[in-house]
Amino acid sequence: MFDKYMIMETGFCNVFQEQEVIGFQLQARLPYYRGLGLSMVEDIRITVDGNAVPREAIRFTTLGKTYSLEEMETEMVGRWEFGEVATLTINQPGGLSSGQHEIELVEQLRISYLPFPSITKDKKTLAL
Amino acid sequence: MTAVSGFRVGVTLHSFAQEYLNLQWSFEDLMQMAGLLGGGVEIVGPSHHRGFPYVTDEFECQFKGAVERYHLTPTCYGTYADPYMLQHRNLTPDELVEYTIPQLQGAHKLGFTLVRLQYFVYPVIERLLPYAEKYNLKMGYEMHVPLTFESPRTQELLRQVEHISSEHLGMIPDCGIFARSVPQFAKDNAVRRGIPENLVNHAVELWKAKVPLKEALDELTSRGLEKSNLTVLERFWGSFGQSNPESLLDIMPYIIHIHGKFFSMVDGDEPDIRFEEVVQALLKGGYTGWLSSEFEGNASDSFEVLKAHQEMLHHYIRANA
Repeated sequence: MFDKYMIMETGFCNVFQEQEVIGFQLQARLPYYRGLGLSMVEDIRITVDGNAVPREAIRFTTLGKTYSLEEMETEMVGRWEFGEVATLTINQPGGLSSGQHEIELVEQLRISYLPFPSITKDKKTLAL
Repeated sequence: MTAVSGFRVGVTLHSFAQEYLNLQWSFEDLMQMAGLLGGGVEIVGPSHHRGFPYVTDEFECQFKGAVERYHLTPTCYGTYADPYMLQHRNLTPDELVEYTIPQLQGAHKLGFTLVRLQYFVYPVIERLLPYAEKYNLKMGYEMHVPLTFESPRTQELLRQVEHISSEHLGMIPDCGIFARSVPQFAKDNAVRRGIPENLVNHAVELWKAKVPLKEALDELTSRGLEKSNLTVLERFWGSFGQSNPESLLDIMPYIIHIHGKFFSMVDGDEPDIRFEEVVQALLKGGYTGWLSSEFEGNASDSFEVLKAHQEMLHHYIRANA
């Protein structure tokens, strides 16, 4: 029910390192009513203009700490707090071209009291 | 807005999830609104403060300050067991205890005298009771769908509560178990997700006929429901139960708190939950605790819909007093 809040309309940009574009970033929130330990974030899938981003290329940053999705699987202390904006950085040399891009974000969460994972999707067109 | 007799009506801040997540309303705003909605405030640990399962001194200050400013009564703190926290194994009993103790401590620190438990702590409850005593807390298992009165799990929990017979352990029924129909928004959501309307309607019929979930999903799949849409209709069974509110009278001595779950208000009434009968049972049973209005639906303004819900409750209280 909070799917539409997942992709933030702010913070979409290419990431530079010494004048080279090494990837791009977007900002995201949980579609869920409470914060979760990072080990409960089973998967984050990102598609740009119909092309899926490799899982290994995604880095997740919240409250000043950065994790790979694999690292998050066993992270029991770090949390994605309720309403907290996380930064997703995608390693992709050259980044994205300027102009509009269709971004699709899927967040797969393990819910402590439900027999199935929560899989929610948001799609927005963002401009670089 | 305190009730004329019997039980008191308050609110859980979970009701404001929409505006809170959207950053439209701050935590302070929610506390102020709780003051206008009966004064009893319930919070959900990991929704309303950071650093869960611990409560920081900073949040204690923020919470208690607002309690004073808006003349609130902290009613119930929502704990979590999160037994499936790890992908490859479940939490051990020791880990469940370790994860719950700081939550009990935190609830006490904030001035709560009640906590909501998830039933997963059932096997370790004896190890938690000393902490409930230490922190002067009543702990209540939430009877949330699928934990209707009829579910074997609920019966097992009730047997344990009766057996232990401690003033620190009871039950918290959630009114989502008293549905008479599937709310419109849930049906709309299913259609919006691309499920054909005839399948949605058929799912509603199966739900009404109390066909068990697995059997119903098999039937819906055989009629063409796509696998990727199973969870959407599964939610009918996972969110709306069909117990009879009169059953509350059977467990009255164990009820420590009520979640007044509701999904919408139409012309001053909740069309899908049997609230008049809930109120009748609570009055008849002499319930004197709190009922938290708990809104879970889509509304342009959660505050307004909560106000309408509480007006309805007060109307039923007056009519049945």
